[in-house]
Amino acid sequence: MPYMEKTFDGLCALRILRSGDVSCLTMIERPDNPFGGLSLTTEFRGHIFGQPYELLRGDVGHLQSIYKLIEHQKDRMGIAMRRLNQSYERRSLEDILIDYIIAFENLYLYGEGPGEKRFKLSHRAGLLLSSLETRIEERRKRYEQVSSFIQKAYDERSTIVHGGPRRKRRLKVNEDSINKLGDYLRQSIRLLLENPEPSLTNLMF
Amino acid sequence: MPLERKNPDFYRATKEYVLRAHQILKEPYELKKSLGQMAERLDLPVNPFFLLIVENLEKIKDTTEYETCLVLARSDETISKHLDKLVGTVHTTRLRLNSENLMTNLLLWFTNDSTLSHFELSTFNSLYHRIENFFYSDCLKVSVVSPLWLFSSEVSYVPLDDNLNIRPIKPDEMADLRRFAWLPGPVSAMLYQVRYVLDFSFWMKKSLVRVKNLMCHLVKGLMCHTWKKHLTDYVHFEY
Repeated sequence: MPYMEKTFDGLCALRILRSGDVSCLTMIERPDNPFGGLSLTTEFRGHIFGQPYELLRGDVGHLQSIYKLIEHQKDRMGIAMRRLNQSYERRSLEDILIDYIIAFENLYLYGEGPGEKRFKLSHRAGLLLSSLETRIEERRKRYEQVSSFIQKAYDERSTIVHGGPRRKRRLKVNEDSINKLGDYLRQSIRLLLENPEPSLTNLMF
Repeated sequence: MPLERKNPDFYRATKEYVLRAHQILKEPYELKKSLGQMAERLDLPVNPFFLLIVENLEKIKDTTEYETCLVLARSDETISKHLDKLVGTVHTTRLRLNSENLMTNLLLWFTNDSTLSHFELSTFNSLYHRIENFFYSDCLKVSVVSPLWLFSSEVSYVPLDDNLNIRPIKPDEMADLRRFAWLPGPVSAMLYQVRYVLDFSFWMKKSLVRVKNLMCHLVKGLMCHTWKKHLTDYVHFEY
């Protein structure tokens, strides 16, 4: 229903803004009439015990702009945002990893044919996320960190989904690594919401 | 300058009915209050004034003010359209109104600690205004409140657009949530820890459905939803 979509957009904006296990306990329709009548519309699908979410005073403007941008980018980035939201309902870290990688693929490999996905994904994510650094050395260092981390995450996701031998330098799936990957995903969504078609040439030089 | 009423006779009759009923309710109300038997003190998720009214309903029904108000409600073309029908929207809760629960709900709407202690015309008028809006408007305002779990904020009110905002939970919403205390698992206990909600408000066309036509109405609602035509039912709603 449209009102559910709008409410979920608000929740999605909060989740894109920062980490923390915020979720809607339920939705209650309250018709504004003197004779009452209310109903419960959804079930709780979040984590009972999780990391608290705090909205800071300085975040408000950013949250509002994310919320507005979400509406315009639903066709292009809908899968990424849906997978981010679904990851909040998962109990298994491996499932969260799979959700995150699908979201990354939607963001960085949208409209791409097969081949070199691992390289393209990690390279583009590295370029975009390192663009936040102003100094060239820091940018290079950041690029290395992000692209190598995402390559490992991509490999781990392939092993989980397809089976087969694990690489030597593999990603250890634990809360820290999943949180780090989640932060990269949130940063990517935020940057791509603001600039949906970044020029890779501009990012490189 | 006094507001022009849609039905001045019904306005006067409602005022007299409420005043008379409050006279009847005053004594049992004071007694219950002094004995500490009000349901709110027992922490029951039931409106204590509803119990008070139901317990004294027979006495209230015997008054001429009750009868006059009921006759005027039935004779008003717009109000009577709502009786013995399900009132709601294509998507939202349908409330069944009949002559008897109309009078009980009407009285409940005007009854609280403050109105029982002292009748104030301005309070009555503002409450009556909402009754009038409900009956005479073609639309219903619906608020969808979503309690935010594990959420806190340094800012108490955050508007996201004209319809959607984040704000602290209100006491009456908390009371509504407690009505869902039968929720499975730990959710009912979690409700008590909620501090903020996402609030989405919108207006929808009002629908009045005869109970015998309910199945047709539900099918229509389902088809509208399936075909994604439901947006045509929205008014004052911008995408």
